[in-house]
Amino acid sequence: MSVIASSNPNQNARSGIAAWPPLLRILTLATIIAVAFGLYLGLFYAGTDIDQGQVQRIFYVHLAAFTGAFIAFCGTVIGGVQYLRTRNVQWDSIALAGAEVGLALSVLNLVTGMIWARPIWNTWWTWDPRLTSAAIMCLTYAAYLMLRTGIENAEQRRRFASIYGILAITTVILTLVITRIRPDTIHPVVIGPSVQNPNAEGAFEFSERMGMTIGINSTIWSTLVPVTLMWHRVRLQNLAERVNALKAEILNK
Amino acid sequence: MNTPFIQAVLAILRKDLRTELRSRELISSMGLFSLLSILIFSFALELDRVARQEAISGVLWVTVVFASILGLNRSLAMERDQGNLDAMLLAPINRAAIFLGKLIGNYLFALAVGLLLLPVMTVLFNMPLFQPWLILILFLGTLGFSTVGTLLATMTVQTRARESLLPIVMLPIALPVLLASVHASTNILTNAPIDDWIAWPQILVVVDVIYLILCFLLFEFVIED
Amino acid sequence: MPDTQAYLILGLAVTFAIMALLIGSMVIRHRNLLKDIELLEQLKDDNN
Repeated sequence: MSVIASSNPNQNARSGIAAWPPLLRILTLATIIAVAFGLYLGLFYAGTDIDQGQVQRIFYVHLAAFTGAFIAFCGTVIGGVQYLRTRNVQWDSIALAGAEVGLALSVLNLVTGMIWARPIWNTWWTWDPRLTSAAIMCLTYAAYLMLRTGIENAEQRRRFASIYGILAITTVILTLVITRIRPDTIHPVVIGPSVQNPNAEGAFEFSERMGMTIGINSTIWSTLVPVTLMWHRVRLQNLAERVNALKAEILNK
Repeated sequence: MNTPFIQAVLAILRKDLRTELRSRELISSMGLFSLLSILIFSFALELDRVARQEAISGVLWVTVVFASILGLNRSLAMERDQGNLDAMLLAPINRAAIFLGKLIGNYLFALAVGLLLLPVMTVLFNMPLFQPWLILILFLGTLGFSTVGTLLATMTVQTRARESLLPIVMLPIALPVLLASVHASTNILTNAPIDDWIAWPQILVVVDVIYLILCFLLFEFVIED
Repeated sequence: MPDTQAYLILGLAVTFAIMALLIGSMVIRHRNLLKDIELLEQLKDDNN
């Protein structure tokens, strides 16, 4: 098979962190430091919200996780399109990594939102358009992973997953734009120029420090975090492909 | 020599319609399912006069969506079982033509169920459902479902889980269509001024066009040898 | 200012839990795959 499958004795001898490419090692370290720095900013640098108290700080993670999920899901689309064009397995691994990392981050986004909502909206969950579409978005990518497990033929699995990954981005876009097309949401509109929503409950005024904390956290979570996690996931997938290739080799003897 | 595009589309459509006219399998199962679904909803929701106005468009759309899932599964499973998917691949016709042919067939069946539901629900719930705007929304909404449904059903019938997978993969993708359709219908039925809801049919048209283009392009990859 | 610190702590705990779940599942799958490879390499050598 391909390069991935060739059993390299050097690779066998080294495992764990020692086997990581230098760039990945640097990236992983940078990500850990950056996330810790972002948390420090959110917890200590930014001021406390007068109306909401300490819980408002969870928002720095909440928004940042969504931006990270968005980038990861974009990775799924790019991986899908490129796989259909080139049929290179690596692209499908990137798409899968994007879906899995994005799903984890969007679940994080959803759960932190619920925890914020409990004291502010006085309920864990409400069937608000934004919340509903975010939940549907998570379910879409859970369906993506389920679709993958339902197909035995590897080539067909990659092809169908690519198609579904491309279609699935529509639910992400819906979640992004829904506060614009459904003005009855109570979710605060944060990004972009918005008409101040009179329905939004728990919207807050940003101080300069808060704004900076939001910007830095979102930058970290939308660049370093998804890229590092997806790279590790792709490496895991490469290993899985190697196992499959070995199995095939033994069975064909 | 390739069969001309339109001719290929019509041939597939004619085949589907003729099979259906002979067996009446799809329409009868989808129709019966829809009637049952309406009855179950009316028991489950205990719809009184006021609740009806708010809930009826939801009942209509959920029923149409589930009935069309039923029809899609059946229609594509028949293709697979009879080896038609492979046969159509061997035939010198454009893949896109296969998609359009299947899509128009599925669309007509879903639309037929929807149009059948309107008079039935008008009588059973005593609501004026026969309105030109509502029928337009029905045309647009079912087009959206049928488009993504045709693509996804062609995929899922080829998987191990088969029939059970289609609702799971299709419902989230169809959500934008469902959302716009339900909100437009509710507003029409509560006699809201047109300015309040005209955005919904517009969104519906945009979503339909996006899905049509996307599915049209992606279908090429769904059936390969 | 309302006292909502408990929810902040809960939120942070959940954040760490979810990330740990993702990374932990990746580590476990990695280990299992390494074990599989070892076993398969052995099988391959035995066959030769």
